[in-house]
Amino acid sequence: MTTRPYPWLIPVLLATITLVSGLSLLAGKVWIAPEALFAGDERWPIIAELRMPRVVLALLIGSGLGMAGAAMQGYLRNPLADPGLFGVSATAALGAVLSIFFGFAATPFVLSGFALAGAALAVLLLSIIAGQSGSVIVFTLAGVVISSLAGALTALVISLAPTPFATGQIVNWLMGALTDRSWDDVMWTAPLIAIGMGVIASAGRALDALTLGEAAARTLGVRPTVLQAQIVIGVGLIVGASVAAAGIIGFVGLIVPHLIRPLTDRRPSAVLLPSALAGALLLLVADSAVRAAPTVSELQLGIAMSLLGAPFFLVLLLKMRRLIG
Amino acid sequence: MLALAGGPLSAQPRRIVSINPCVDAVLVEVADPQQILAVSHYSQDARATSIPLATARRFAATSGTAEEVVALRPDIVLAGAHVSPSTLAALKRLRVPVQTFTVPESIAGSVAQVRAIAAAAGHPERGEALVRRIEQAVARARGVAAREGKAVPALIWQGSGLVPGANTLADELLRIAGFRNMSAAYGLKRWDVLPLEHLAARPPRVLLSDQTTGDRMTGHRVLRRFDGQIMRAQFDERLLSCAGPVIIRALDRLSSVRASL
Repeated sequence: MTTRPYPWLIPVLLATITLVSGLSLLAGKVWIAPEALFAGDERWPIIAELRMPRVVLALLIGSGLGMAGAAMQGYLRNPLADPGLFGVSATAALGAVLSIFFGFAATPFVLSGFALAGAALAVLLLSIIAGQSGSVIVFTLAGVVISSLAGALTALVISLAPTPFATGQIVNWLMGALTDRSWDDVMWTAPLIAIGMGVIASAGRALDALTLGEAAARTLGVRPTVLQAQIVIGVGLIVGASVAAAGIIGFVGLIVPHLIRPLTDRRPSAVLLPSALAGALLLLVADSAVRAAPTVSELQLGIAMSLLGAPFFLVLLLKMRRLIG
Repeated sequence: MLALAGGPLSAQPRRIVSINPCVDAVLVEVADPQQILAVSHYSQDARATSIPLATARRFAATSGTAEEVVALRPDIVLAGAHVSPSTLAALKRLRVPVQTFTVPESIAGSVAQVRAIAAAAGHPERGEALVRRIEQAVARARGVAAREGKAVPALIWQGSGLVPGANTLADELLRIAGFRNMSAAYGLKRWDVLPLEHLAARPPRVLLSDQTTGDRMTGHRVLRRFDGQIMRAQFDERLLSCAGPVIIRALDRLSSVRASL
C-alpha cells in the first residue's frame, strides 16, 4: 500500500463544493441579493424550491456520473470508457422520449418512471447477452449495440412525432437540463444514485486486482461474473436515475477520472471517491454557469457540459501526448 | 370590506404572464397592456414572433423558467401544451395558477382559445371582437373561393420539407381559401416530410413556401422541371406558427394567391 500523493485532495474538493454550492444559490435569471435571503424576502421560494433542489441534483448526478466513469475506465481498462457506453443512458432516454411521445409527460413522475424502466431493460439485456461468460469484450459490444439500437429507436420516435412542436419538446428534453427540477426529483434520485455508488464502491478492491490482468485477478479471488454484475447494477442505477432526472449529460464521466487520476496513486479504487467529488463540483459549476449566463433562453446543461468538456479534454490529451511522446 | 371582496374582485384585472408566443398573439389583443407582466422571449425574436416587434418590445420577456415567472408574481400564467413538464410542476408547487393551451388544430379550436384567454384577462368582449374579425376573414376567403370556382390542388411546404396535412389548422385554411391540400393525396399524415418523388409524380398547381428561407428541398433542381406547371407562391412560415389573429393574415394571404391564379 503506497501513501496517497496528495492527502489534501479530498478535503480541498469538499471545501470547494461547499463554497460553490453557496455561491450557486445566487446564480439565476432573477437576481436576489444575498442579504435579502436572510431578511425573509418573499422571493425565498425561488431559492428554496427552485435553486436548492437544482444544486442538490447537480451534486448527486455529478458525483454519480464521476464515480461511474472512474469505475467503467477501471473495469474496461480503457481510458475512453464512459458511463454511456453500456447503452443504459440511451435506453433510459428512449423510455423518457416514449413517455413524451404518448403524452404522459405532463406528470414528471411518469417520465422518470419510463426512463428508469428503459435503464432497467438495458441492464437486463446486457446480463442476458453477456451471460455467464464475464467477458469484457462481449459485454462492451453488447452495450454498444444496445446503445445504437436505442438511439435509432429514439430517432424513429422523433420522426413520428405528430407536430413540429412535439418534436421540439422531445429534442429539448434530450439535450439534458436541471431547469425547474424539484425536491420530489431529489427524493427519488438520491437513494438510487446512493445505492449505485455503494455497489460500485464495493467493487473497488476487485477493480484494483483487475489492473494486474484478468488471469491474475482470478488467482486473487476476483470472480468476473460478480464484478460484472456489480458494475452493471451500479452504473445502471446511477445512469438510469441521472437520465430520468436530467436527460443525457455527457462528458462528466469521461473527463473527471482523467483529471483526478494524476492526483492519486492511480489505483482504480483510489480514483473512485475523488472522481465522485470532482464530478459533483464540475456539474455544479457548469449548471451555475448556465443559470447565470446572460442568454435569453437558458443554455441546456448537456450542451454546456460538452462545450466546457471537449476543449478541456483536448488540452489534456495534448499534455498526455507530450508526456508519452 | 371583506364582504365586498367577492364581487369587485372578479372585475379586478388579473396580472398575467404568458410563456407562449401564440398566447402572446391573442393576449396583446384582449388584455390591457398593464395587465401583461411579461410575454414569451420568442415574441421579441423577429424570426419567431407572431405580433409586431414594436408591440412585443413594450413588455418584459421571460424565457419561461419557473424562477423568472414566480419573481413577477402573476395572478395567472398562460402556457402552451409543450412546455417542459418540470416547469409546470414547479409552478404548481409554488401555487401559481397555470392555464395551458394546446396547439389548435382548427379554427373552432382557436376561437375557443381566444375566448378562454379573453376570459382569463377579464375582457370577454374583446375576445368576441377578435372572434368576429376571424369570422369575417373566413367569410372573405370563402367569398373569393366561391368567385374563383373549383378548388385548386396546392401544397404548403415548410422548411426541411414539412407539410401540414389532414387535421391541421393549415389544412382547414387551405380548404376555406379554395385550395385542395395535396398532402392527403400523397398519403401524408398530419405533419409529415414530403418525399420529392410524390411532388414530381403528381405536382400541385400551387406550391406555397417561404422563399426567403429556402433550403435543400424547396430549392431542389427537380422543381425547375415543373416551372411551367407549378406556381410557386411566397407563404411566410410564421403564418403557420400560431392561430388566433394570425388566422386572419394567413387567410388573406391565401386568398390573394387564389385570386391571382
